[in-house]
Amino acid sequence: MSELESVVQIAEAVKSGKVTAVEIAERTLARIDARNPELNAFLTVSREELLAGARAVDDKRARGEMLGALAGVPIALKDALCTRGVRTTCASRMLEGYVPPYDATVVRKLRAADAIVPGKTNMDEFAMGSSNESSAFGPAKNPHDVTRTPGGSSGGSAVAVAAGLAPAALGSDTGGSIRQPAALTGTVGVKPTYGRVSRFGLVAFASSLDQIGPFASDVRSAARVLGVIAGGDPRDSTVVDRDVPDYEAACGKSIRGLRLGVPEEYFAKGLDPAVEASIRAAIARLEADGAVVRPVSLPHTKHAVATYYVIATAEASSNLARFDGVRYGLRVTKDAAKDGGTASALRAMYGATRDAGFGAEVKRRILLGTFVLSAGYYDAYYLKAQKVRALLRRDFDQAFGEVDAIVCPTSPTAAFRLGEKTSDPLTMYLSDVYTLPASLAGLPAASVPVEPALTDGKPLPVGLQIVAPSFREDTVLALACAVEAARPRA
Amino acid sequence: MDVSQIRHVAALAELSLTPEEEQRLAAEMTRILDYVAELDAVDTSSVLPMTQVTGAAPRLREDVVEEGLAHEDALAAAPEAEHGGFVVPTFVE
Repeated sequence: MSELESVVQIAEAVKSGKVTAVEIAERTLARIDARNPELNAFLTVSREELLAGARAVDDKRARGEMLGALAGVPIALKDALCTRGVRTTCASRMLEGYVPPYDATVVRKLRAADAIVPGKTNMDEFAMGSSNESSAFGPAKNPHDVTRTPGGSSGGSAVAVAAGLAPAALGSDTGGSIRQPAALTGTVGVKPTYGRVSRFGLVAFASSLDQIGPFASDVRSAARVLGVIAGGDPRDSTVVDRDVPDYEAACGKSIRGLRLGVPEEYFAKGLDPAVEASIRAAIARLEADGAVVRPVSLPHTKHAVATYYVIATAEASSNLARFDGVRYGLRVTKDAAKDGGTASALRAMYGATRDAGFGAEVKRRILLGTFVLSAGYYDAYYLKAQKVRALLRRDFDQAFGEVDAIVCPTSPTAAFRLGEKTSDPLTMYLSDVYTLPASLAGLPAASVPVEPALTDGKPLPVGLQIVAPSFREDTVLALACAVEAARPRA
Repeated sequence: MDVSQIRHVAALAELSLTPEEEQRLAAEMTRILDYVAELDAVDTSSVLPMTQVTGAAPRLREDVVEEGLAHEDALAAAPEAEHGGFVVPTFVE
Protein backbone atom coordinates (compact mmCIF):
# COMPACT_ATOMS: atom_id res chain seq x y z
CA MET A 1 0.00 0.00 0.00
CA SER A 2 3.00 2.28 -0.38
CA GLU A 3 1.27 4.45 -2.99
CA LEU A 4 -1.63 4.96 -0.59
CA GLU A 5 -0.32 7.73 1.63
CA SER A 6 -2.20 10.88 0.62
CA VAL A 7 -5.85 11.82 1.02
CA VAL A 8 -6.31 11.90 -2.74
CA GLN A 9 -4.62 8.51 -3.29
CA ILE A 10 -6.63 6.78 -0.57
CA ALA A 11 -9.97 8.25 -1.64
CA GLU A 12 -9.45 7.28 -5.27
CA ALA A 13 -8.29 3.76 -4.36
CA VAL A 14 -11.27 3.17 -2.05
CA LYS A 15 -13.68 4.49 -4.67
CA SER A 16 -12.23 2.23 -7.35
CA GLY A 17 -12.16 -0.79 -5.03
CA LYS A 18 -8.36 -1.22 -5.08
CA VAL A 19 -8.44 -1.20 -1.30
CA THR A 20 -11.22 -1.33 1.27
CA ALA A 21 -11.85 1.32 3.89
CA VAL A 22 -11.52 -1.39 6.54
CA GLU A 23 -7.99 -2.23 5.28
CA ILE A 24 -7.10 1.46 5.50
CA ALA A 25 -8.60 1.66 9.00
CA GLU A 26 -6.68 -1.40 10.21
CA ARG A 27 -3.43 -0.04 8.81
CA THR A 28 -4.10 3.26 10.55
CA LEU A 29 -4.68 1.56 13.91
CA ALA A 30 -1.50 -0.51 13.53
CA ARG A 31 0.52 2.66 12.88
CA ILE A 32 -1.05 4.49 15.81
CA ASP A 33 -0.38 1.52 18.11
CA ALA A 34 3.26 1.44 16.98
CA ARG A 35 4.08 5.15 17.21
CA ASN A 36 1.62 6.88 19.50
CA PRO A 37 3.12 5.76 22.83
CA GLU A 38 6.26 7.69 21.90
CA LEU A 39 4.70 10.63 20.02
CA ASN A 40 1.58 11.25 22.17
CA ALA A 41 -0.24 12.64 19.12
CA PHE A 42 -3.61 11.07 19.98
CA LEU A 43 -5.33 11.58 23.32
CA THR A 44 -8.15 9.24 22.34
CA VAL A 45 -8.07 6.51 19.68
CA SER A 46 -11.64 5.75 18.64
CA ARG A 47 -10.98 2.22 17.45
CA GLU A 48 -14.56 0.95 17.27
CA GLU A 49 -15.92 4.11 15.66
CA LEU A 50 -13.14 4.03 13.06
CA LEU A 51 -13.83 0.42 12.08
CA ALA A 52 -17.60 0.93 12.10
CA GLY A 53 -17.19 3.99 9.88
CA ALA A 54 -14.95 2.06 7.51
CA ARG A 55 -17.42 -0.82 7.30
CA ALA A 56 -20.21 1.64 6.50
CA VAL A 57 -18.14 3.07 3.62
CA ASP A 58 -17.39 -0.40 2.25
CA ASP A 59 -21.06 -1.38 2.54
CA LYS A 60 -22.06 1.76 0.69
CA ARG A 61 -19.73 0.86 -2.15
CA ALA A 62 -21.00 -2.74 -2.17
CA ARG A 63 -24.53 -1.37 -2.63
CA GLY A 64 -23.29 0.49 -5.69
CA GLU A 65 -23.75 3.95 -4.16
CA MET A 66 -21.49 6.86 -5.09
CA LEU A 67 -18.77 7.50 -2.52
CA GLY A 68 -17.81 10.97 -1.28
CA ALA A 69 -14.64 12.99 -1.89
CA LEU A 70 -12.98 11.56 1.24
CA ALA A 71 -14.03 7.92 0.81
CA GLY A 72 -12.31 5.84 3.48
CA VAL A 73 -9.82 8.59 4.35
CA PRO A 74 -8.82 8.63 8.03
CA ILE A 75 -8.92 12.21 9.32
CA ALA A 76 -7.73 12.91 12.85
CA LEU A 77 -9.51 15.62 14.82
CA LYS A 78 -8.06 18.14 17.23
CA ASP A 79 -9.56 17.40 20.63
CA ALA A 80 -11.32 20.78 20.64
CA LEU A 81 -13.84 19.53 18.08
CA CYS A 82 -16.95 17.95 19.56
CA THR A 83 -17.58 14.34 18.57
CA ARG A 84 -20.81 12.65 19.54
CA GLY A 85 -20.07 9.75 21.88
CA VAL A 86 -16.27 10.23 21.83
CA ARG A 87 -14.69 12.19 24.66
CA THR A 88 -13.55 15.72 23.88
CA THR A 89 -11.08 17.04 26.42
CA CYS A 90 -9.44 20.17 24.97
CA ALA A 91 -6.37 18.62 26.67
CA SER A 92 -7.74 19.95 29.96
CA ARG A 93 -8.50 18.35 33.33
CA MET A 94 -11.66 20.44 33.16
CA LEU A 95 -13.09 18.30 30.34
CA GLU A 96 -11.20 15.06 31.00
CA GLY A 97 -14.36 12.93 30.97
CA TYR A 98 -16.57 15.07 28.76
CA VAL A 99 -18.52 13.17 26.07
CA PRO A 100 -20.36 15.60 23.78
CA PRO A 101 -23.96 14.90 22.78
CA TYR A 102 -23.43 16.16 19.21
CA ASP A 103 -20.90 16.40 16.35
CA ALA A 104 -19.28 19.66 15.27
CA THR A 105 -20.47 20.80 11.85
CA VAL A 106 -17.06 20.07 10.29
CA VAL A 107 -17.21 16.53 11.67
CA ARG A 108 -20.67 16.05 10.16
CA LYS A 109 -19.37 17.31 6.82
CA LEU A 110 -16.36 14.95 6.92
CA ARG A 111 -18.61 11.98 7.66
CA ALA A 112 -21.01 13.03 4.87
CA ALA A 113 -18.01 12.90 2.50
CA ASP A 114 -17.30 9.32 3.74
CA ALA A 115 -14.20 10.18 5.78
CA ILE A 116 -13.45 8.01 8.83
CA VAL A 117 -12.17 9.29 12.18
CA PRO A 118 -9.30 7.50 13.97
CA GLY A 119 -9.35 9.70 17.06
CA LYS A 120 -8.77 12.96 18.85
CA THR A 121 -5.41 14.69 18.86
CA ASN A 122 -3.32 16.35 21.52
CA MET A 123 -3.16 20.13 21.79
CA ASP A 124 -2.28 22.93 24.13
CA GLU A 125 -4.94 23.19 26.84
CA PHE A 126 -7.96 25.00 25.36
CA ALA A 127 -5.68 25.80 22.36
CA MET A 128 -3.64 28.21 24.49
CA GLY A 129 0.01 27.71 23.66
CA SER A 130 2.57 27.40 20.90
CA SER A 131 4.41 24.22 21.88
CA ASN A 132 1.80 21.67 23.04
CA GLU A 133 3.38 21.84 26.49
CA SER A 134 0.27 23.27 28.15
CA SER A 135 -1.59 20.01 27.44
CA ALA A 136 -2.74 18.47 30.71
CA PHE A 137 -1.76 15.09 29.26
CA GLY A 138 1.86 15.83 28.29
CA PRO A 139 3.05 17.29 24.99
CA ALA A 140 2.97 15.64 21.60
CA LYS A 141 6.53 15.06 20.31
CA ASN A 142 7.97 16.19 17.00
CA PRO A 143 8.65 13.09 14.88
CA HIS A 144 11.72 14.79 13.33
CA ASP A 145 13.30 14.95 16.81
CA VAL A 146 11.31 13.76 19.81
CA THR A 147 13.16 16.10 22.16
CA ARG A 148 11.57 19.00 20.30
CA THR A 149 8.12 20.55 20.18
CA PRO A 150 5.80 19.96 17.23
CA GLY A 151 4.48 23.48 17.84
CA GLY A 152 1.01 24.35 18.95
CA SER A 153 -1.65 24.57 19.68
CA SER A 154 -2.74 21.91 17.13
CA GLY A 155 0.47 19.94 17.73
CA GLY A 156 -1.09 16.48 17.87
CA SER A 157 -2.84 16.96 14.52
CA ALA A 158 0.45 18.06 12.94
CA VAL A 159 2.31 15.08 14.42
CA ALA A 160 -0.37 12.62 13.28
CA VAL A 161 0.12 13.77 9.69
CA ALA A 162 3.93 14.21 9.86
CA ALA A 163 4.40 10.70 11.25
CA GLY A 164 2.02 9.13 8.74
CA LEU A 165 -0.52 8.08 11.40
CA ALA A 166 -3.25 9.82 9.40
CA PRO A 167 -3.07 11.38 5.91
CA ALA A 168 -4.94 14.48 7.12
CA ALA A 169 -6.17 16.10 10.29
CA LEU A 170 -8.22 19.08 11.36
CA GLY A 171 -6.85 21.76 13.63
CA SER A 172 -8.00 25.16 14.75
CA ASP A 173 -6.05 28.38 14.33
CA THR A 174 -6.61 31.40 16.55
CA GLY A 175 -3.19 33.05 16.28
CA GLY A 176 -1.19 30.51 14.28
CA SER A 177 -2.23 27.19 15.81
CA ILE A 178 -2.42 25.42 12.43
CA ARG A 179 0.34 27.20 10.51
CA GLN A 180 3.08 27.14 13.17
CA PRO A 181 2.84 23.39 13.96
CA ALA A 182 2.61 22.69 10.21
CA ALA A 183 5.89 24.59 9.75
CA LEU A 184 7.62 22.85 12.65
CA THR A 185 6.60 19.35 11.50
CA GLY A 186 7.03 19.72 7.73
CA THR A 187 3.32 19.41 6.89
CA VAL A 188 0.88 21.56 4.92
CA GLY A 189 -1.49 23.60 7.11
CA VAL A 190 -4.25 25.94 5.96
CA LYS A 191 -6.05 28.59 8.02
CA PRO A 192 -9.06 29.68 5.97
CA THR A 193 -10.52 33.18 5.86
CA TYR A 194 -12.49 34.09 8.98
CA GLY A 195 -16.06 33.15 8.04
CA ARG A 196 -15.14 30.42 5.55
CA VAL A 197 -15.66 27.40 7.85
CA SER A 198 -18.32 26.83 10.51
CA ARG A 199 -17.07 26.74 14.11
CA PHE A 200 -20.23 25.14 15.49
CA GLY A 201 -18.98 22.43 17.84
CA LEU A 202 -15.46 23.86 18.19
CA VAL A 203 -14.82 24.62 21.86
CA ALA A 204 -14.45 28.39 21.65
CA PHE A 205 -11.21 30.16 22.58
CA ALA A 206 -11.33 33.63 20.93
CA SER A 207 -14.44 33.91 18.81
CA SER A 208 -13.35 36.82 16.59
CA LEU A 209 -10.25 34.83 15.56
CA ASP A 210 -10.91 31.06 15.70
CA GLN A 211 -10.98 29.19 12.37
CA ILE A 212 -10.86 25.46 11.63
CA GLY A 213 -8.59 24.18 8.88
CA PRO A 214 -6.80 21.11 7.51
CA PHE A 215 -3.35 19.58 7.86
CA ALA A 216 -2.19 17.22 5.14
CA SER A 217 1.04 15.81 3.76
CA ASP A 218 0.47 17.50 0.39
CA VAL A 219 -1.30 20.62 -0.87
CA ARG A 220 -3.87 18.95 -3.09
CA SER A 221 -5.03 16.79 -0.18
CA ALA A 222 -5.37 19.84 2.06
CA ALA A 223 -7.37 21.54 -0.70
CA ARG A 224 -9.75 18.59 -0.93
CA VAL A 225 -10.40 18.55 2.82
CA LEU A 226 -10.91 22.31 2.85
CA GLY A 227 -13.46 22.01 0.05
CA VAL A 228 -15.44 19.54 2.16
CA ILE A 229 -15.49 21.54 5.42
CA ALA A 230 -15.99 25.04 3.94
CA GLY A 231 -19.32 26.73 3.41
CA GLY A 232 -22.61 27.65 4.99
CA ASP A 233 -24.00 26.53 8.31
CA PRO A 234 -27.17 27.91 9.87
CA ARG A 235 -25.61 27.13 13.27
CA ASP A 236 -22.73 29.61 12.92
CA SER A 237 -23.91 33.11 12.08
CA THR A 238 -20.35 34.26 11.26
CA VAL A 239 -20.03 31.97 8.23
CA VAL A 240 -20.12 34.14 5.13
CA ASP A 241 -22.65 33.02 2.55
CA ARG A 242 -20.66 32.48 -0.62
CA ASP A 243 -19.99 29.59 -2.91
CA VAL A 244 -17.15 27.18 -2.20
CA PRO A 245 -14.92 27.08 -5.28
CA ASP A 246 -13.11 23.96 -6.48
CA TYR A 247 -9.98 24.35 -4.34
CA GLU A 248 -8.29 21.33 -5.86
CA ALA A 249 -8.51 23.01 -9.27
CA ALA A 250 -6.31 25.81 -7.90
CA CYS A 251 -3.47 23.32 -7.44
CA GLY A 252 -1.24 23.19 -10.46
CA LYS A 253 -2.51 26.49 -11.85
CA SER A 254 0.22 28.66 -13.33
CA ILE A 255 1.60 31.33 -11.01
CA ARG A 256 3.16 33.26 -13.92
CA GLY A 257 2.60 36.96 -13.43
CA LEU A 258 1.29 36.63 -9.85
CA ARG A 259 2.61 39.55 -7.81
CA LEU A 260 4.17 38.47 -4.51
CA GLY A 261 4.97 40.87 -1.68
CA VAL A 262 7.84 40.17 0.67
CA PRO A 263 7.25 42.15 3.89
CA GLU A 264 10.50 43.56 5.21
CA GLU A 265 9.15 43.48 8.79
CA TYR A 266 9.13 39.66 8.70
CA PHE A 267 12.85 39.46 8.04
CA ALA A 268 13.94 41.52 11.02
CA LYS A 269 15.77 40.69 14.25
CA GLY A 270 14.84 37.32 15.72
CA LEU A 271 14.64 35.40 12.43
CA ASP A 272 17.01 32.44 12.47
CA PRO A 273 19.54 32.83 9.60
CA ALA A 274 19.16 29.21 8.45
CA VAL A 275 15.36 29.62 8.33
CA GLU A 276 15.76 32.87 6.42
CA ALA A 277 18.00 31.17 3.84
CA SER A 278 15.39 28.44 3.20
CA ILE A 279 12.60 31.00 2.89
CA ARG A 280 14.55 33.25 0.51
CA ALA A 281 15.52 30.27 -1.66
CA ALA A 282 11.87 29.21 -1.93
CA ILE A 283 10.82 32.73 -2.90
CA ALA A 284 13.58 32.80 -5.54
CA ARG A 285 12.18 29.57 -7.03
CA LEU A 286 8.70 31.15 -7.23
CA GLU A 287 10.29 34.07 -9.06
CA ALA A 288 11.99 31.63 -11.45
CA ASP A 289 8.53 30.11 -12.08
CA GLY A 290 7.32 33.49 -13.29
CA ALA A 291 5.97 35.19 -10.16
CA VAL A 292 6.80 38.86 -9.78
CA VAL A 293 8.44 39.46 -6.41
CA ARG A 294 8.59 42.88 -4.79
CA PRO A 295 9.08 44.28 -1.30
CA VAL A 296 6.04 45.49 0.66
CA SER A 297 5.69 47.06 4.09
CA LEU A 298 3.33 46.01 6.88
CA PRO A 299 4.40 48.69 9.36
CA HIS A 300 2.21 47.66 12.32
CA THR A 301 3.53 44.08 12.42
CA LYS A 302 5.55 44.75 15.56
CA HIS A 303 2.34 45.52 17.48
CA ALA A 304 0.62 42.23 16.60
CA VAL A 305 1.76 40.29 19.68
CA ALA A 306 0.52 42.91 22.15
CA THR A 307 -2.72 43.41 20.22
CA TYR A 308 -3.37 39.69 20.05
CA TYR A 309 -2.71 38.98 23.71
CA VAL A 310 -5.23 41.65 24.74
CA ILE A 311 -8.00 40.67 22.31
CA ALA A 312 -7.61 36.88 22.46
CA THR A 313 -7.41 36.78 26.27
CA ALA A 314 -10.39 39.11 26.64
CA GLU A 315 -12.50 36.84 24.48
CA ALA A 316 -11.14 33.73 26.21
CA SER A 317 -12.03 35.05 29.66
CA SER A 318 -15.62 35.36 28.49
CA ASN A 319 -15.76 32.04 26.60
CA LEU A 320 -14.22 30.05 29.44
CA ALA A 321 -16.70 31.43 31.99
CA ARG A 322 -18.95 28.52 30.99
CA PHE A 323 -16.69 26.03 32.77
CA ASP A 324 -18.19 26.35 36.22
CA GLY A 325 -18.83 22.77 37.31
CA VAL A 326 -22.58 22.93 36.67
CA ARG A 327 -23.51 21.57 33.23
CA TYR A 328 -20.49 19.50 32.17
CA GLY A 329 -16.90 18.80 33.05
CA LEU A 330 -15.15 18.78 36.39
CA ARG A 331 -16.77 19.76 39.67
CA VAL A 332 -14.80 20.25 42.87
CA THR A 333 -16.64 20.90 46.12
CA LYS A 334 -14.60 22.01 49.09
CA ASP A 335 -15.58 21.57 52.73
CA ALA A 336 -16.28 25.29 52.85
CA ALA A 337 -18.92 24.70 50.20
CA LYS A 338 -20.45 21.69 51.90
CA ASP A 339 -21.16 23.48 55.16
CA GLY A 340 -22.63 26.37 53.19
CA GLY A 341 -26.27 26.76 52.43
CA THR A 342 -25.41 30.31 51.43
CA ALA A 343 -24.40 31.95 48.17
CA SER A 344 -20.76 31.51 49.18
CA ALA A 345 -21.04 27.71 48.88
CA LEU A 346 -21.89 28.02 45.19
CA ARG A 347 -19.10 30.51 44.54
CA ALA A 348 -16.65 28.33 46.45
CA MET A 349 -17.59 25.46 44.12
CA TYR A 350 -16.99 27.66 41.07
CA GLY A 351 -13.61 28.82 42.35
CA ALA A 352 -12.39 25.40 43.47
CA THR A 353 -13.53 23.78 40.22
CA ARG A 354 -11.82 26.37 38.05
CA ASP A 355 -8.64 26.35 40.12
CA ALA A 356 -8.37 22.55 39.87
CA GLY A 357 -9.58 22.25 36.27
CA PHE A 358 -7.48 24.88 34.50
CA GLY A 359 -3.71 24.73 34.02
CA ALA A 360 -1.28 27.60 34.56
CA GLU A 361 -1.39 29.06 31.03
CA VAL A 362 -5.19 29.04 30.90
CA LYS A 363 -5.41 30.78 34.28
CA ARG A 364 -2.88 33.37 33.17
CA ARG A 365 -4.93 34.16 30.07
CA ILE A 366 -8.27 34.24 31.92
CA LEU A 367 -6.79 36.68 34.42
CA LEU A 368 -5.22 38.88 31.74
CA GLY A 369 -8.46 38.88 29.75
CA THR A 370 -10.58 39.65 32.80
CA PHE A 371 -8.22 42.49 33.72
CA VAL A 372 -8.23 44.17 30.29
CA LEU A 373 -12.04 44.12 30.28
CA SER A 374 -12.43 45.30 33.88
CA ALA A 375 -13.76 48.68 34.96
CA GLY A 376 -11.16 51.40 34.45
CA TYR A 377 -8.94 49.39 32.08
CA TYR A 378 -11.25 48.61 29.16
CA ASP A 379 -10.45 51.74 27.13
CA ALA A 380 -6.72 51.63 27.78
CA TYR A 381 -6.27 48.00 26.82
CA TYR A 382 -9.18 46.35 25.01
CA LEU A 383 -10.45 49.32 22.99
CA LYS A 384 -6.89 50.36 22.19
CA ALA A 385 -6.07 46.85 20.92
CA GLN A 386 -9.20 46.83 18.73
CA LYS A 387 -8.00 50.07 17.14
CA VAL A 388 -4.51 48.73 16.49
CA ARG A 389 -6.17 45.64 15.04
CA ALA A 390 -7.86 47.92 12.49
CA LEU A 391 -4.43 49.32 11.59
CA LEU A 392 -2.99 45.84 11.14
CA ARG A 393 -5.83 45.03 8.75
CA ARG A 394 -5.26 48.32 6.91
CA ASP A 395 -1.58 47.37 6.38
CA PHE A 396 -2.72 44.25 4.51
CA ASP A 397 -5.44 46.09 2.55
CA GLN A 398 -2.83 48.57 1.33
CA ALA A 399 -0.33 45.84 0.44
CA PHE A 400 -3.01 43.92 -1.48
CA GLY A 401 -3.52 47.01 -3.62
CA GLU A 402 -0.09 46.23 -5.06
CA VAL A 403 0.36 42.46 -4.74
CA ASP A 404 -1.76 39.30 -5.04
CA ALA A 405 -0.24 37.52 -2.05
CA ILE A 406 2.34 37.90 0.67
CA VAL A 407 5.10 35.35 1.27
CA CYS A 408 7.14 35.20 4.47
CA PRO A 409 8.37 32.79 7.15
CA THR A 410 5.70 31.03 9.24
CA SER A 411 7.88 30.84 12.35
CA PRO A 412 11.11 32.67 13.24
CA THR A 413 12.85 29.40 14.16
CA ALA A 414 12.62 25.70 13.44
CA ALA A 415 11.23 23.44 16.18
CA PHE A 416 12.61 24.44 19.58
CA ARG A 417 13.37 22.03 22.38
CA LEU A 418 10.65 20.92 24.79
CA GLY A 419 11.13 22.98 27.94
CA GLU A 420 13.09 25.70 26.17
CA LYS A 421 10.44 28.43 26.47
CA THR A 422 8.20 27.24 29.28
CA SER A 423 9.76 29.36 32.01
CA ASP A 424 8.79 32.68 30.43
CA PRO A 425 5.30 33.10 28.93
CA LEU A 426 6.30 36.23 27.04
CA THR A 427 9.11 34.45 25.17
CA MET A 428 6.60 31.81 24.10
CA TYR A 429 4.13 34.49 22.93
CA LEU A 430 6.81 36.14 20.80
CA SER A 431 7.31 32.92 18.81
CA ASP A 432 3.90 33.63 17.20
CA VAL A 433 4.97 36.99 15.78
CA TYR A 434 4.63 35.98 12.09
CA THR A 435 1.29 34.19 12.28
CA LEU A 436 -0.67 36.65 14.45
CA PRO A 437 -1.12 39.47 11.89
CA ALA A 438 -3.07 37.35 9.36
CA SER A 439 -5.24 36.03 12.21
CA LEU A 440 -6.04 39.52 13.47
CA ALA A 441 -6.83 40.60 9.89
CA GLY A 442 -9.01 37.50 9.31
CA LEU A 443 -7.10 36.54 6.14
CA PRO A 444 -6.54 33.11 4.56
CA ALA A 445 -3.03 31.79 5.06
CA ALA A 446 -1.13 28.55 4.75
CA SER A 447 2.22 27.11 5.74
CA VAL A 448 3.93 24.86 3.22
CA PRO A 449 7.23 23.02 3.74
CA VAL A 450 10.39 24.37 2.09
CA GLU A 451 13.97 23.15 2.45
CA PRO A 452 14.88 22.09 5.99
CA ALA A 453 17.24 24.30 7.95
CA LEU A 454 20.22 23.01 9.86
CA THR A 455 19.53 23.56 13.54
CA ASP A 456 22.15 22.33 16.04
CA GLY A 457 23.59 20.32 13.16
CA LYS A 458 20.27 18.64 12.38
CA PRO A 459 17.99 19.33 9.39
CA LEU A 460 14.58 20.46 10.72
CA PRO A 461 11.46 21.46 8.77
CA VAL A 462 10.80 25.07 7.75
CA GLY A 463 7.49 26.47 6.54
CA LEU A 464 6.82 29.28 4.08
CA GLN A 465 3.71 31.26 4.96
CA ILE A 466 1.44 32.49 2.16
CA VAL A 467 -1.22 35.12 2.95
CA ALA A 468 -3.85 36.30 0.45
CA PRO A 469 -6.86 38.66 0.45
CA SER A 470 -10.11 37.48 2.05
CA PHE A 471 -11.62 34.38 0.42
CA ARG A 472 -8.64 33.95 -1.93
CA GLU A 473 -7.79 30.48 -0.62
CA ASP A 474 -7.40 29.60 -4.31
CA THR A 475 -4.42 31.96 -4.61
CA VAL A 476 -2.90 30.56 -1.40
CA LEU A 477 -3.26 26.99 -2.68
CA ALA A 478 -1.95 27.72 -6.19
CA LEU A 479 1.19 29.22 -4.66
CA ALA A 480 1.51 26.44 -2.10
CA CYS A 481 1.37 23.89 -4.93
CA ALA A 482 4.09 25.76 -6.82
CA VAL A 483 6.28 25.82 -3.71
CA GLU A 484 5.70 22.10 -3.20
CA ALA A 485 6.51 21.25 -6.84
CA ALA A 486 9.70 23.32 -6.86
CA ARG A 487 11.07 22.11 -3.52
CA PRO A 488 14.36 20.26 -3.96
CA ARG A 489 13.96 16.63 -2.87
CA ALA A 490 16.49 15.06 -0.60
CA MET B 1 0.23 44.41 39.23
CA ASP B 2 0.30 43.51 42.90
CA VAL B 3 -1.21 40.61 44.81
CA SER B 4 -4.28 42.58 45.86
CA GLN B 5 -5.09 43.37 42.22
CA ILE B 6 -4.58 39.72 41.31
CA ARG B 7 -7.06 38.77 44.06
CA HIS B 8 -9.59 41.27 42.76
CA VAL B 9 -9.32 40.04 39.15
CA ALA B 10 -9.33 36.39 40.27
CA ALA B 11 -12.58 37.05 42.16
CA LEU B 12 -14.11 38.58 39.03
CA ALA B 13 -13.04 35.48 37.09
CA GLU B 14 -14.28 33.07 39.82
CA LEU B 15 -10.81 31.57 40.28
CA SER B 16 -9.57 30.51 43.72
CA LEU B 17 -5.79 30.82 43.64
CA THR B 18 -3.24 29.57 46.13
CA PRO B 19 -0.91 32.16 47.72
CA GLU B 20 1.95 30.80 45.58
CA GLU B 21 -0.12 31.22 42.43
CA GLU B 22 -1.00 34.79 43.43
CA GLN B 23 2.67 35.68 43.88
CA ARG B 24 3.77 34.12 40.61
CA LEU B 25 0.89 35.54 38.59
CA ALA B 26 1.46 39.05 39.96
CA ALA B 27 5.03 38.97 38.62
CA GLU B 28 4.06 37.42 35.29
CA MET B 29 1.14 39.77 34.70
CA THR B 30 3.31 42.78 35.45
CA ARG B 31 5.78 41.70 32.81
CA ILE B 32 3.09 40.98 30.22
CA LEU B 33 1.30 44.29 30.88
CA ASP B 34 4.60 46.17 30.62
CA TYR B 35 5.04 44.61 27.20
CA VAL B 36 1.46 45.35 26.12
CA ALA B 37 1.93 48.99 27.14
CA GLU B 38 3.89 49.48 23.90
CA LEU B 39 0.49 49.90 22.22
CA ASP B 40 0.26 53.35 23.87
CA ALA B 41 2.83 54.57 21.34
CA VAL B 42 0.55 53.82 18.36
CA ASP B 43 -1.43 56.80 17.12
CA THR B 44 -5.04 55.61 16.93
CA SER B 45 -6.71 59.03 17.22
CA SER B 46 -8.49 58.68 13.88
CA VAL B 47 -9.13 54.91 13.95
CA LEU B 48 -12.38 53.13 14.74
CA PRO B 49 -12.09 49.94 16.82
CA MET B 50 -12.39 46.74 14.80
CA THR B 51 -15.01 44.49 16.37
CA GLN B 52 -15.20 41.94 13.54
CA VAL B 53 -13.26 41.34 10.35
CA THR B 54 -15.66 40.18 7.65
CA GLY B 55 -17.71 43.35 7.40
CA ALA B 56 -20.72 41.11 6.79
CA ALA B 57 -23.79 41.31 8.97
CA PRO B 58 -24.32 38.13 10.98
CA ARG B 59 -26.67 35.79 9.19
CA LEU B 60 -29.73 34.70 11.08
CA ARG B 61 -31.50 31.48 10.24
CA GLU B 62 -35.22 31.27 9.69
CA ASP B 63 -37.21 31.07 12.89
CA VAL B 64 -38.39 27.52 12.34
CA VAL B 65 -38.92 25.04 15.15
CA GLU B 66 -36.52 22.11 14.83
CA GLU B 67 -35.63 19.08 16.86
CA GLY B 68 -33.21 20.28 19.57
CA LEU B 69 -30.91 18.48 21.96
CA ALA B 70 -32.83 15.79 23.86
CA HIS B 71 -33.36 16.60 27.54
CA GLU B 72 -31.46 13.53 28.75
CA ASP B 73 -28.56 14.26 26.35
CA ALA B 74 -28.28 17.78 27.72
CA LEU B 75 -28.06 16.43 31.27
CA ALA B 76 -25.84 13.45 30.49
CA ALA B 77 -22.53 15.24 31.11
CA ALA B 78 -23.63 17.10 34.24
CA PRO B 79 -21.58 16.41 37.39
CA GLU B 80 -24.90 16.11 39.25
CA ALA B 81 -28.44 15.99 37.89
CA GLU B 82 -31.75 15.23 39.55
CA HIS B 83 -35.44 15.55 38.67
CA GLY B 84 -34.54 16.66 35.15
CA GLY B 85 -32.32 19.55 36.22
CA PHE B 86 -28.74 20.46 37.09
CA VAL B 87 -27.93 20.25 40.79
CA VAL B 88 -25.74 22.91 42.44
CA PRO B 89 -24.77 23.50 46.06
CA THR B 90 -27.60 25.13 48.03
CA PHE B 91 -27.36 28.89 47.71
CA VAL B 92 -30.59 30.11 49.27
CA GLU B 93 -31.69 29.33 52.81
